[in-house]
Amino acid sequence: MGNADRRAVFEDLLRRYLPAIGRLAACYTRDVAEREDLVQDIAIGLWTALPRFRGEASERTWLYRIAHNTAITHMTRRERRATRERVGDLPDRPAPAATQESTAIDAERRARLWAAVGALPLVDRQIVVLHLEGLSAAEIEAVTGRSAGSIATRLTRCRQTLAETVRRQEDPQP
Amino acid sequence: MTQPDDELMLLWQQGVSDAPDAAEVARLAARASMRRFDRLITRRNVIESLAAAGVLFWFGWNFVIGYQRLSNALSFASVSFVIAYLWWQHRHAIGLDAAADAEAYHAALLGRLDHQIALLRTVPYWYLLPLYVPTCLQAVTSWPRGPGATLTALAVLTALYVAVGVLNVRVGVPRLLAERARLEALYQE
Repeated sequence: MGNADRRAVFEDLLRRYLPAIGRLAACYTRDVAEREDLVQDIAIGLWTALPRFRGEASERTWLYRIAHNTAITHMTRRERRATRERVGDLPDRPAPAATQESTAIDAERRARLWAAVGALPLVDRQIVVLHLEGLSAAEIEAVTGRSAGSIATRLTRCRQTLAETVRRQEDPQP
Repeated sequence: MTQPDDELMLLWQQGVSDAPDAAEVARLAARASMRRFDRLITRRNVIESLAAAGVLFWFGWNFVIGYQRLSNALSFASVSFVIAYLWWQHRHAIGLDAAADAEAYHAALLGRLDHQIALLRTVPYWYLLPLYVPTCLQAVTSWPRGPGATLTALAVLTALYVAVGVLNVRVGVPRLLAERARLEALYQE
């Protein structure tokens, strides 16, 4: 792969996956500057690994593997960082069609969802994030290397918790 | 896919805009492509190899011209041993594959740390001891200004070697062990 081709493929990947990479990075660190560093590290990881990508795994699986593994390396490099971090605020952009009221409610629910995901243990968090990004069970298995049974069990447990967390504060207490 | 799932996914994916900023893409692409890791690693390896070759040449040359033959021969052998030992220890080492699945990557990270810990723990034996003996010999033969000066030189050298050993074993190893514990904790339930 020539340098120009590599750059074109790389830019195309970033165009399609940068939002997902941003969300993933936000799951690992609440600090905005550190999140930018992590996104950049992931981008460098992708760039470095690109010439070795032969299509044995799907592009999405390959990309999420690199993103998660880079995030783990990034986390372990930081000595002073706590082992479990919570999610910070993401640059939020409301859906254009939403009314002001529904937008506010969505933003609140979204914040609760992010906080709940961020509070999950690492393995659960990885699986849930991949699921929320729309990866199939087989793809999650390929990214995490965990068995389908373990993934299904964790997902069932986490989805229930997340749905309850998002719904909980919508129903006002009597 | 269930209804609550769809809702959660929608909420999740609305966290950031779907269309990344073109300028941001270009910036990341430029930065990533500018980081020529391979070249950096190659350059570092070349510098290390040149330094080792330079040291070996120095001892070898002194031996050939007949200057302190015994200590230079010993030094040459010691440096060769350290280089060979490091090569032997890393002969099967392969770089971390970021495209591996998370379990395999985690295992590889732990394995690499374990290897580094084992190497650091044994630094006094494979690194310091082989270099200590010829260095002491050099000190004794180079500074024959009397027993007092020789003993002082030996004491300083010994203190230096002990300090390096203590730093590696008592500071470096616990640091790596802490890093390993952090890495393990990441995957604990």
